[in-house]
Order: sequence, then C-alpha cells, then structure tokens
Amino acid sequence: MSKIKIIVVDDHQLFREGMLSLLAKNDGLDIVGEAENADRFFELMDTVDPHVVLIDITMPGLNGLEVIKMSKSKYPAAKFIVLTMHAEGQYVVRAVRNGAFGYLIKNADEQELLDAIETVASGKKYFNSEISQLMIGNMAIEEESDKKLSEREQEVLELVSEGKTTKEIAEQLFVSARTVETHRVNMMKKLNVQNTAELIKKAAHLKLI
Amino acid sequence: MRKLSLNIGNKLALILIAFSLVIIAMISALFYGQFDRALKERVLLQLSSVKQLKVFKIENEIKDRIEVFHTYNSDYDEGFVDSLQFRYVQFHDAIPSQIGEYPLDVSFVESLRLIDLTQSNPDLHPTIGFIEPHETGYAIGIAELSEIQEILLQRTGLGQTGESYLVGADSLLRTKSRFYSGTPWNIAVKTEGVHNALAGISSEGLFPDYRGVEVFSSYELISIHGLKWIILSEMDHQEALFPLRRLRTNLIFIMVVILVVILVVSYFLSRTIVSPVLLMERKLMTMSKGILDGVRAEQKRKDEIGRMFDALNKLVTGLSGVIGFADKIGSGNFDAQYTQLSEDDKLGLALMQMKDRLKEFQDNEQRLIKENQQSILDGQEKERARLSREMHDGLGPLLTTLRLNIQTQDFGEKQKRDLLHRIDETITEVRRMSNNLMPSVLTDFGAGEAIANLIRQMENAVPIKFRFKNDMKADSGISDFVNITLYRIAQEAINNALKHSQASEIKLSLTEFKSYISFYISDDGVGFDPQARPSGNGIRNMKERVKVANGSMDITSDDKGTTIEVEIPIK
Repeated sequence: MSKIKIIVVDDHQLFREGMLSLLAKNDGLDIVGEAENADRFFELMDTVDPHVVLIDITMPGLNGLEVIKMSKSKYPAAKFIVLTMHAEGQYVVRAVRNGAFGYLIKNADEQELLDAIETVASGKKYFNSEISQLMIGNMAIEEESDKKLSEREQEVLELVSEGKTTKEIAEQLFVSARTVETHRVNMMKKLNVQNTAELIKKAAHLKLI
Repeated sequence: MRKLSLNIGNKLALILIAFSLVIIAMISALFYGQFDRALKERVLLQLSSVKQLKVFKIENEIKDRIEVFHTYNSDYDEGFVDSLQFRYVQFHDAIPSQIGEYPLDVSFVESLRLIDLTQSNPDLHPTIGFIEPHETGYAIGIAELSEIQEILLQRTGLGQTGESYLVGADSLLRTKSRFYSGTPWNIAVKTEGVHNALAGISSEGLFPDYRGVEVFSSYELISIHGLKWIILSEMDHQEALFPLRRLRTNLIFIMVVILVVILVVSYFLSRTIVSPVLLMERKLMTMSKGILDGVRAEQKRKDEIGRMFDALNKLVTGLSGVIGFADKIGSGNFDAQYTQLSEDDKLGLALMQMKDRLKEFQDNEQRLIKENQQSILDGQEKERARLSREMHDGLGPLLTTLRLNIQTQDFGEKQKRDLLHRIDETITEVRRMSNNLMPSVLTDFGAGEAIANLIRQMENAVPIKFRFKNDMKADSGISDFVNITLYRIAQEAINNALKHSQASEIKLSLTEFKSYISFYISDDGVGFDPQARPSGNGIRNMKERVKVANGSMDITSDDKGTTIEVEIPIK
C-alpha cells in the first residue's frame, strides 16, 4: 500500500513544524507540502495531489471552512480534516456541511490523529464521540424548513387558532407582544389575507393547523 | 416744569375750570351789559310815562281852572265872584300891582296870561294867577292848585326814592322836596334836566339832581299861557339799579354752582378716564418688571379705554405664549410649537430660530455622543476580540505545539501523561478565557449561536433552568456590532438574573424579522424597581448599548419576575 500524501495548512509555523515532526515518525505517511494560508494552499494544489489535508480554521485571509467549501468541487480527491482550537458545535456542523471528512481539536492525542488520517484516507468520515456530540447538539438549528411558515410562525398560528390572546401567546413562547404581532402580520402577508379570522380559515384550508 | 408734574386728572380739571370760567365771564359780561341797558331803558321809559301822566293831569287841572275862570270872566258884570276854586276873582280896569298878598308884576296883557304866584303863597301850595283882558279892563283870578301837589305826590311807579317835582323858570323848586323840608324855592335846581327843559327839550337822562345824587330823570317844560313850569320825574340811580345788583349776586351764585359742578364733573371724568389710565400705568409698570400674573384686566367698556385694555390683554396673552414657548425651549422641549402673533413677531421668530438652532445643536451633540459611545464600545470590543484571538490563536498553538513536542519526546509514560494532562488543562483555560473575552462563534455564526453556547455553558455551571429559542436566520448578514450588542445584553441580563433575582428559570428568545431583531429575556425571580437608580453598571451598560444601536429597551419587573424586551433595528 502506497503512502498517504498529506498537506498541513496552518498559519503558525511552530505548529506546522511540530505536526511535521510528529507525522514524520510514521512510515505510512508522506508530508508532501505545507501552507500558511489559503493562497499558498491553492498554489500548492497545482503541483501536488494529496490524499488528506489537515487544515486549521482561523487563518489570515480565507478561513479553513471556506477553503474546504471551495475545494469540494475543485479537488474532489483531497479529503479534509479540520484541525482546530475551536471546540464549538457550530464549527463542526459548518465543516461537515462544507465537505470536511474529519474534525479534530488540536490537543487530540497522537494516536487519534493517526486513526483519523487513516480512516479519512480510506474514504470514511472520522468524528470521535466528543465531536459527534457537538454536531448533534447543533444539527436541529440547521434543519431548514421548506414549509411556507417558519416553525415559530406555526406555533403562533396554532396558539392564535386556540383563541389565545397576544399577551398569553407572548408569555407562552417567551417573546415580546410586539414579536407575536409581527409574526401574525408576517403570516397574514405570506398567506395573503387581511385579518386574523381569514388567516385561521386559510391556514385550516391549507392544512397548516 | 411744574406743570409737567401734574397728573392727567388735575390737568383736565384745570383746563375744564379755566374754560368754563372764561365762558361764564363772557356770558355774564354780555348778560350784565344787556340787562344794564334794558334796565336803564325800562326805568327811563317808566319815568317818562309817569311824568307824561302827571303832565297830562296837571295840564287838565290848569285847563279846568281856565275854563272856570272863563265862565267868571263872561259874567264879569257881577263885579266880583265868590268862588271855591279861586281865592280871588276880581275885575279891574287896570292891572293892580298886588291882590291880597300876591304881587302882580304885569302891567299889560293882550290875551289870557298865567303867572306863577307859588312863591307868594304862605301855605307853599302851587298858586297861579290868571289875567285876561275883557272889553273894559282885566279879569284877574288867583287860584291855589293844591291838586297839583297831590298829583306830584302820587308816587306810583317811582319806587322808594322816586319823586316828581316842579321847578320854576327861575330854576328854583316849586313843590315840596321829599328829601328837604322848608320852603321849596330856597332850593335851586340847576340840573341838566332843568337846563334842557328850559331850552325846550323834553327828554330823559342820568345826571345828578339838586341833592347831587345821581338820578334817572324824565323832564318836560309845561308851558301854558305864559306859565313856565318844568316837571321832573326822577329816581335814584342806586335804587333803579337794584335788580342789576341782584342779577350780579345771582350770577356769582350761578358761577359758584357751575364751578362746583365742574369740580364734580372733572372728578368723575378723572375717575372714568384717568383712573383706567393710572390702572394701565400700574399694569405696564408690573409688566416692565417681567411679572405677567394678574396683569390681565377685564373691562366691560366698549370705548377706547376698553379697547386699550383689550389690547393689553392680547399683549399679555401673546407674551405668555412666548414665555411658555421660551420656557419649554429652556427646559429642553424642542418639540414645542409656536404660532407667530403676526408676520412681524420678531421675538417669536427669534425664539423659533433659537429653538431650531438649539435643536440642531442638541441633535449634533447627541449624534456625537452616540458616535463617541459607539467608537468606545467598538474599540473595547475590538480590543477584546484581538485579545481573544491572540490567546486563542497565539497562545493556543504554542501550547499545542508544546504538547506535540512532549508527545514526540522519550519521557516516562506516567511523566508524559501528567505533562500532557497539565497542558490540556492550560489549553482549556486559555480557550475559556478567550471565549469569555469574545467568543469566535459570535463573529463567525452570529449572536444566536453564541448565546446558545453561552447558555449551554451556564446550564452546566448553575442550578437554574434555561429555555432559549433562537429564531435568527442563518447567514442573514447581521453586522458584528449588532451581534455583539445582543450577546453583551444576554451576558448582562443572565448575569443580573443569577446575581439578584433568585430565579429558578430564565427564558430567552431571539427573533429576527426583516427590519428588526426582537430579544426577549424573562425570569421568574423576585424582581426589582426599574425606576430606581441602578446599583451596578449592568442595566446602564445594556441601556447604553441599545441606545448606541438605535434600539429600544423596556424593562418590566414585579415580585413575580423581570422581563426585558429589546428591539434593535437592522437595515
């Protein structure tokens, strides 16, 4: 089996050097290049064809997540592992959506790093349990509804149809009364009706409630 | 100069008095002169008629005697006649020099001749001698005409001092004087009347009589058959003018009455004209001291004075309006409206310009303050972001590099684990500090995600239940500034609730609309008084941030909890 070709993209030279010396110990890995920012990485990609790219998120210029997104169609063979200090779920979700195959926090163990590289190089995704937890905790937010009404509007509509007053709805949904009113007005605009009675009628007709 | 110090009332009274005095004087003079002339005419006319009557009576008396004498004369054959009406009637061939005690100093007559024999009558009665020739001689009669004395003594129409008397051609008195007793003809009457009458003029006049007293006199010469008597009817000037003196007294009385009336009238004039003027003066003096209260005065009058007070009231109303307006401007109310009193209302115009300038100035100042605050906040946040990044991206990699180095070194297995563990702790601490300063999620994923992370951290650290509804749109392009504002508000609000509210649950919702973001935070704690001066910087910082972001913030709080509603506009 041939060696896995790797590129390391990080704006900190010390870190790159540390990473190189760590990976160099392993015979199955071949560091084919390093870059300190997005521009350098794209230049590099003209000459080499890596299997795995270890990339940081926070960098001067384009950040790592954007680089992954741009590379997905441009370099479909290169598989990205995010290697970052950011331990927030939002970054994980964004990275996965942009096409990353793995996500590691920088203080990951040496063994974990090697496992990740091998897993990703074989075409599978690698997320440890910690990262998976972060991802799941934030997935709900990313669920984009293609319904005509937003989730919140749907809630307001149901409460309105139950005959609740604006104040009661506001209390129940812990939003301001004006927010409830704005939701109601926005719904009436979306459903092209003039008043609350018509709104409920049309919503029932459309089987929204 | 003293005249100037008189007040209007006194001036008015003086003018009225002077004016009416002149008129009264003129009328009095005219009246007096006319009355004087009329009185004199009347007195003279009366004297003249009295005199005329007496002349008529006297002449009749004499004519009667003459007739009687004629009858005797036609019967002269009888020799002598014994008559009641004549003392003597005798017939002589020649005229004797004396009959009885009466001397006859006439020697020849051609026709009836009357001679005055009064001076020879011891009884002092008017006595006339009648001499008339007949065929052979002369008939001579001597008659005493005491009737004449009676006629003269009839004083009807002659008043107190009036008298009528006869004067002979020798200018000596013939009949008794009312004023002197004794023989009349010892009194010479050489007056203007006698003089004129002797010259044949019968007239009236005012001159001194025989006593030297000024009298009105009517005189006439009675001339019958050689007898020449002058009759004078006279009245003292003093008495005749008595009505004139009464008139003068009356005029003086009337004058006094008029003066009193004028004084009263001028008093009332000064009350009706001057007192409103004085009132106006006082009001204007009050106004000149800048006092407008109580200056307004109601006048029911419809004349110039009433209109003057109407104008004053209008002035007061106008000034009050201006003052109220200025007061509002002074207290910083630049929304105060003002209607100009007229196109030339310079004060009002100046105030309105002042208001506009002040408003502009205030707006500028507020904008500057806001810009200042924003730049301070911006600077602060930038500094935090920089620090956070430095720690995260500078310190962090150093530590991770260090970690990598340790991993590749040949330490003992246990020693290595300890070192790595300590470095992991350090990395976590750096990440926590960086996050507290400025979470990178805030700028990379927006306030909704950052607040969600914040709450996740809190949930693990404090025994309070959190509910958060993030209704922000993904990739909506909200500015960092608004994101930071929302995040800091969330931090402050949660912090306050944790510190003070004793709440068991905190509910937050973040809702993004097209034109604004609504942020709602409520807890079920003990509440506080939002009107009270905030004890810490928390509430004040929130308010400041919202204000700088042009948003609005409402805090309602009671013993069931606190609700904070924030709205931030987005373009």
